[in-house]
Amino acid sequence: MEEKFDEIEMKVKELIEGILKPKAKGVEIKKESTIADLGGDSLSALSILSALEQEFNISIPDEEIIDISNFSGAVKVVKKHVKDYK
Amino acid sequence: MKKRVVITGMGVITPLGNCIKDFWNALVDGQSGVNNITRFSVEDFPVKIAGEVNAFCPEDFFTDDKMDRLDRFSQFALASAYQAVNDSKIDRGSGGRDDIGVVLGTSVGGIYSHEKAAEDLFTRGFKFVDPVSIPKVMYNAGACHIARHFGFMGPNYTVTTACASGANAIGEAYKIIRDGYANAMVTGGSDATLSPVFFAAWCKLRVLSRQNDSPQKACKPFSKNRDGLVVAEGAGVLILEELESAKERNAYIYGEIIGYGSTNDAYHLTFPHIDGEVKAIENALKDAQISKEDVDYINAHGTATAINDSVETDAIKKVFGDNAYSIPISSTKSMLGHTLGASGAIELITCALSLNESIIPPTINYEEPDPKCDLDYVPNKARKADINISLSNSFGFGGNNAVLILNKLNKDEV
Repeated sequence: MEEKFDEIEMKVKELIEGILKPKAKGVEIKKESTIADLGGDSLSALSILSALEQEFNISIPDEEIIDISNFSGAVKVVKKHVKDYK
Repeated sequence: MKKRVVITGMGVITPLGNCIKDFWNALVDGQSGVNNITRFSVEDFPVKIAGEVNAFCPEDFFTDDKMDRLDRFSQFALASAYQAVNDSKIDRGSGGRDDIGVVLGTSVGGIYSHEKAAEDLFTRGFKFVDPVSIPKVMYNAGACHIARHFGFMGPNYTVTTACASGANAIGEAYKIIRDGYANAMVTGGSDATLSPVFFAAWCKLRVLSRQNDSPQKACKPFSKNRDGLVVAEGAGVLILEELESAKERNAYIYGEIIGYGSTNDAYHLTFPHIDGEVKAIENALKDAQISKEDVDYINAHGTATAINDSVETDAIKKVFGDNAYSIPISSTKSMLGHTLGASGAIELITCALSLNESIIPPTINYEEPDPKCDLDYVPNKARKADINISLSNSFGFGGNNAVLILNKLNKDEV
């Protein structure tokens, strides 16, 4: 069954796809995917974090970098900082 | 006992081709790789020409989904190293090899990534600085990517001596093998010099040719009407190997590095001085234990600035005396432009190919004899010649001089 992604999840998915290019390896991003599952490492997490800050115009504190180690964590971080997200 | 050091593999990324065959055919044919700059806008710039590397696809050499983590200079270095390692057929070992190392030369490392991060910071703000900028920009990135990709865990460092970087890197790698610290070395130079701020700064130095209307004829080393150098980008990488181990595995041997001389003028940051150049050539001849009459070909630094070409000519005359007039000398920068930190490596590869093919590539765009430059520059057309020993000059800003001497191995030695 296909997973449903909300607006922010879609955007985060799109950004991560642009950075890690998992499709080239035949890997699909799922909600439970980790950055490692998608072929990324700690430097990739930094690139994703930077892309999220740019896209959503937010500032993510250092202690939340650890949350970017998986897709859901990244979404959670974005939702926490995007003020008008309901 | 000192070990003997031979070349068993070579690879290039240049404005005249991204493999040895294309590169060499273009050189022998006297083609120019100089053209209008397309990588960035040069609207306000007085100089609009350079030697750009075209049709370069990292994917042609390797698949790595993290290629965007490499600055262009590291991509060039890695692509050239792939060619050289394949060419040498050297055993990469099952878990890597700690007796193979890397010494790479570069004058400006990841300059493009540096400029990009600066532009993003100054025009868009902190948020927009690429978090991978440091590993892209760092000068040792190229050498480290080569080590990582091939599992070469031996001595690894980066040499930066401006336009002498490539030659100094090869000289240092040669010493590492000669003195027994490694069995083989990946070495050479790489520079992705075409970045807007860096190129603007070159324009400001007023040493570049301004012949924007005829790019392919712009670089005229040793010709009286020369008006400056042409900046280019590229890389050249060689596999150096200890002679006995190369023979044991029946490797093809392009030639033996027999001499290396390295000096500094201790004089001026951008003006050359004859004494430093003479001493570097003499040191290389001494290291090679040959007499100056033995040199059959000189690949000149030959940048096509007024001062370089006349001082280099004087230095050659001072070392070789009357014999200087009978040694063929060519500047392959006339065709490639000046690849800065890569030039010494690309030019040693040119020397190796000259030994093997018995052809001396020309100095193209040679139009008017200059009384200050009155030697045999192999003008405009390649020349057939049996060459046993060739010498390659590299002189860099900062007064850095590096000279390498290459010898063709006799058949009974291989």
